[in-house]
Amino acid sequence: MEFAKANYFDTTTALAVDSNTLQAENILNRDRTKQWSSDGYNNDATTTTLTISFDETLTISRIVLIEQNWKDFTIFYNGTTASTFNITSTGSTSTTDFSSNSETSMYIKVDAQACTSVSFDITGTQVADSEKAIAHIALSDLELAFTDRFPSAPDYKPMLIPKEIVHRLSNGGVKVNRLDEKYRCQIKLNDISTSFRDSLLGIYRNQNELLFTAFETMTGWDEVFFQCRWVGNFDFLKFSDNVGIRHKGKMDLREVAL
Amino acid sequence: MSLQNQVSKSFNKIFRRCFIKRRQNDGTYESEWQDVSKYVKKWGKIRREIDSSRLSKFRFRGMTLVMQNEEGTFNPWTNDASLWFGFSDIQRTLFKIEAGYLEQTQGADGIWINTEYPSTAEWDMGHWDSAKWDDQAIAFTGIIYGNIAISTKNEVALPIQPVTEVFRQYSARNIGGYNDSLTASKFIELVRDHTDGSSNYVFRPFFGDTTTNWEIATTTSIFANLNTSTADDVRDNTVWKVMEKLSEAENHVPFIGRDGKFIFKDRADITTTIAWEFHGQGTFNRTYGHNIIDIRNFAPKPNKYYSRVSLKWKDANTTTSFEIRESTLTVGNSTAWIFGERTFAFTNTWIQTATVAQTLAQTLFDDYSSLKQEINVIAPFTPELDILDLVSVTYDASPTLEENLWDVRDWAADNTSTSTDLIWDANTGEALKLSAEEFKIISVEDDLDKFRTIVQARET
Repeated sequence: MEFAKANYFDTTTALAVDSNTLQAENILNRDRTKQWSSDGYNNDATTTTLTISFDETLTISRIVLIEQNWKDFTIFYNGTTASTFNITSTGSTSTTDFSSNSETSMYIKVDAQACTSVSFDITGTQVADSEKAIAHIALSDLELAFTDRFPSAPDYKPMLIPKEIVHRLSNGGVKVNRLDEKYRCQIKLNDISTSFRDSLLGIYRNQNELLFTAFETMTGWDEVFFQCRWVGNFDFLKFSDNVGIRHKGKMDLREVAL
Repeated sequence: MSLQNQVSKSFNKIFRRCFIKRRQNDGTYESEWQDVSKYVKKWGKIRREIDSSRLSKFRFRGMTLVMQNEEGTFNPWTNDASLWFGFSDIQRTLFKIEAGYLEQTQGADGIWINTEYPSTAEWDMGHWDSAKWDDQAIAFTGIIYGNIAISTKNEVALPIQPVTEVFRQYSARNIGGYNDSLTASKFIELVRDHTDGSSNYVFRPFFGDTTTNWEIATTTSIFANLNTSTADDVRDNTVWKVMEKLSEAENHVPFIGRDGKFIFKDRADITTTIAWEFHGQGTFNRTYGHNIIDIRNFAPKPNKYYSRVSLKWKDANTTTSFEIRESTLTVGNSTAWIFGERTFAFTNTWIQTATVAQTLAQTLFDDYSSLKQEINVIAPFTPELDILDLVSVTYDASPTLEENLWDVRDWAADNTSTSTDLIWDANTGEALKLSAEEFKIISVEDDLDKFRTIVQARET
């Protein structure tokens, strides 16, 4: 469970694709059903490249891929195909050079690397000879890992909140019109250290948008991942013991609009 | 899949988008629509109506959207936080709303296909080319016009007027090309082709900058009163006022389709076949599903019944200036006796010949001299409906035949026919029973916040 900085990739002008440029903005959208897909690259012998460039050098240690169909692909930085990231997550490979990936969404933790650009060379797809597609990419760096304490299962409440309009038809049946859905996560933490409490307070006071994920894993990821703001009170100032050195409280994280 | 299928489903992904096109400092509109959907806090209602509340009155209402203005996005154009900074004033900015249903399917290759409804074709280029949305699901096209106030609530109520407003904002005397043989359709063509004298079209920019967005039915009556820009009937009237008078004289309607097209046509139904079927309680249809939320009212409209139509088409107060059509009142079953005599009297001295006056009076008399039912149906958002569309309504709350007050349950007192004494009326359902009754839509209101459509329709 961790917070990462808001997605560094936040404008379509940072992105270069070989084809279907009109769909490129879909990669900014966190809606998993709105993808960018290549056009004319439905051949596993043909590589297409996505490149995200930054105006400044940024440190990247988190790479998030949502709803993609890539099997054989390489992620590298600063325009040099040999400069792959070293993966610290447990997975099928130790660098960001994948040859037989079967995951559709991945939260990849890598050694922090100073980057001016990140490129994705995609060659093969999980169903052979398909167009290459992806719904969302996030590039970021760790903000705060919950190393001090994880919430218990009942104290971790992730949910998807729909925005929808429900009609009750003339025979009493319902018709649901759904516009969108956003994540919300309520977390209670007991018995955390003062230093971790202070780190949380720093995040609360900064009020920057942050990426949140509960189980940062490259395989079998549950995809509970969203750019959020901490809404409401900061109540970790309470003590959880009589000695007054441990704290408890709760936080309410809500996904921001695109 | 079709729009009918989408409306009939119990679960839909839906979309609402709105766009602006700002005027550049040289007066032309920017080439691309700008998506401002993310600023919308409240969408409002789109309403189009004809003869809904008053005969021969066309109304194309505006709408008001509430936009969040935390960062001054909708401040006046002189403010550098404004979306209009570097462009011309916010007034008369083009505005477009798109709304509809989204069909989402994921192929075995992991690629999602998003198909929007309404769409012009399922297998269009959108599936195969680079364009994301080839199809247009336009619900409303208009202009921003009116008071735009900023307040401490950090939100702005954005007044949107239908593009007919541009006709109200232009004097008919400024149109060029008046002549001695001007017909109604020719006048509208003059409006379409009118320029500022420097080859810049005055009205076309509000209609997609193309003549194909002007659907003008040809008329033949010549309006001698429109022979010059200084004629009495031209000098002090707006372009819209002239259009209204011409429409009445020709028994036509001028209106703006939901896709922003200007349409001038006769008052007959747009479709001669049923454009949409409504099905409610007690009925089921495989194509349309169950698509009635409520029937708010269904009743004959005595206030739209006229036993007499009196059209004055000449200035002089002589009998030859009038065309009158009326029912004969006889004590008995005549409608004039049952409902009383009601006269629809109106004056339109633009009518040029007795034949046209007779036809107009007769047409109105035929339509309004019998008592007709009107119905108000609330349905899930149904984006393809437009005024003058022909629709059918089926609603049958009762599982058996309608109750009959005069049956044996109520009146069986005769001991000689005991076999029928215990017949009970159906005790479920409601009073309403409609079996594919046909109506012509006279008013459509799309509520984009509640994502529903309210239709007022009149018996054909």
